[in-house]
Amino acid sequence: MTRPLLELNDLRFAWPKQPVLLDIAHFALQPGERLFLKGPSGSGKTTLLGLLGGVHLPQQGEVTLLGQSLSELSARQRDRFRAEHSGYIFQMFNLLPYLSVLDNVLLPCRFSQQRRQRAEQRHGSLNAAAIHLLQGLGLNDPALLSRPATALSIGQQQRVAAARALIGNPELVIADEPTSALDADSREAFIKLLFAECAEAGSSLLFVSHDTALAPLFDRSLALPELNRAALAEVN
Amino acid sequence: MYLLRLALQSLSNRRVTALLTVLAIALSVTLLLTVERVRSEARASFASTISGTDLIVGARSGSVQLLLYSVFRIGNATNNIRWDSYNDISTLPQVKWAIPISLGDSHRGFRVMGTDQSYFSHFRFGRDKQLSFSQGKAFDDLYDAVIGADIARELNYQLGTELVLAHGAGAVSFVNHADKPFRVSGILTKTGTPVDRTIHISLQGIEALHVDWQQGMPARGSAHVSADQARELDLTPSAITAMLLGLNRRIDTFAVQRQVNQFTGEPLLAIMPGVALQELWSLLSVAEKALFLVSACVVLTGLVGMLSAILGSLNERRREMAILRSVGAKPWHIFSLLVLEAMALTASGILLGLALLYLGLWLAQPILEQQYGLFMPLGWPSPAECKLLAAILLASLLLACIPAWRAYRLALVDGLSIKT
Repeated sequence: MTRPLLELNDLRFAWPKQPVLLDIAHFALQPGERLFLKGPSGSGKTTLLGLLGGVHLPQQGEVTLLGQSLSELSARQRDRFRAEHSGYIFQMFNLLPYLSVLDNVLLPCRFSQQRRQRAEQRHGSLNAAAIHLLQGLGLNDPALLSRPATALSIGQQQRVAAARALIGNPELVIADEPTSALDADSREAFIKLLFAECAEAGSSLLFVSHDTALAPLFDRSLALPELNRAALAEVN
Repeated sequence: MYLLRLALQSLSNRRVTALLTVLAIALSVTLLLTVERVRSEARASFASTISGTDLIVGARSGSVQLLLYSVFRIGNATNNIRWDSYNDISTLPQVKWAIPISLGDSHRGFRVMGTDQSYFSHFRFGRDKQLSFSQGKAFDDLYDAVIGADIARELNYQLGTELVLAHGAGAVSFVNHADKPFRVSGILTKTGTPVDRTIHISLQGIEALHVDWQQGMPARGSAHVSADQARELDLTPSAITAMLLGLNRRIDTFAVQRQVNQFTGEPLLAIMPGVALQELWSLLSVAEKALFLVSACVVLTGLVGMLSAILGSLNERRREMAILRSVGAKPWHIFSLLVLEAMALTASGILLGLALLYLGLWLAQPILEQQYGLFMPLGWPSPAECKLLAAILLASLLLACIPAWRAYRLALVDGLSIKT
């Protein structure tokens, strides 16, 4: 068996002066895998994403991304590691309103050398990489590139956010309820486009949502409350 | 570099607030620089009005008052010096030259000064500069007048123009010396000092104007002396207002000063121009400091306005910060972003403030020169002004650390979670 891309072992986390919020014995995501993680609001989902990104550190256990334990890195190194190996898509209003569509997509390349180099190597230039991704996500109009991000519809904005998460081929794409602002039809269309682009980029996808209707589309699905022993303890 | 671009683009997204902040800073900077410039230019212009004169002698009064009326033509003398006192002092062995000055008349608001030829050969201003004529020559005839450059320009007087002097120093006079008109014999080159706004005539000319006056009023009827009759009279003045002294050796200054102050003929006062000028500055420095302090506070108000605008925007920008964090921005980047924003606002404010200052100076220059004799050149910012501007930038840098630190903390706590 290949080494997992992302692995959690004996992880415990609590906010200061609060009971343990997350207690996960084991969790793993394989390279190229598309995983649906069901997480109702209040289940510690956002905190988990913070731990995966290395923004917070667990009190116990560890998060390993690409074989590198995040706890062993300094805060500065974790920020860098996150930028180089993962892309994020949030619920909505993902884009910086004062930047053009193109600048929004290229944002990770401004902070990560590695992703800029990968994008340039693969497509010749940063702009070509961005245009390729946007076209793959169904945003073909070249006039769109220079438009301010706020001029786009919500659906279009989410696709721009996906392009931003994928530029420079990060190994991991984390999507936090990216479809909750979309209607049912666009939801599936968005996910299919996202799958295709993740496959092309060779990225694993961790998709967090409370909408179980989407779960069958994925390779595998898990529920955070079942994974989280702290939540189980509370229920019992 | 990219952070600066982000900061500017983020600012342009909030351009109304940003513009108002820049405007507030700009106005405060203009005010501060104006105060500073008027202060330093006034000092420079005062200091360059007289040079090479070792002592000024007048009737006993305050030293600042003597300096003001004898050199700057501000205010009036309370008493005169008798002519024989002038003769006694000007012939002291230590004295190299003496310039008599007789004030009290005017022409259309410009002061008239009676003096003699020594004025044109010995008076110095600026850095030891001598008076020179742009046209004509010094007075020769009894009714000749030498006018300053500003008078020639403002009243459009040329050589040969006749002018009637008025009694008293006000702009409006009820008693004119209409019977004895003067003729312009020379026009002086511009000096940037009160000389430009003075009409110089001979002491005998002053005497001729007043020869038939009794008890401060012109004579009537048979007692009246016509201009030509006056030429036949002995016009040795009986008194002058003040005198400027140049000594053979500067080391004698204190000795001569003491001699004048202990003069037995009448109560006199001798001052050193530099010392009196210092006294004047120390008098004015309280007002100067107060003005400076007030304008510095106005700048601080502008900066605090900026601070509150940035702090106020932080909450609605937590989403922006989280997005930046998710694409790899370190908390330190967020800190820098806010500092850069503040610096960009302050720098624009300073540039706009400078532009406003120069525009204001350009507009006010003729008025200042005409009304106050203050010439304000449109020069580059002085080292002192650059220091002030640097201090403003530094202050804004320090203040910017407050919202930047807050954003830094928020970025650490919020992490990647987006707060709406």
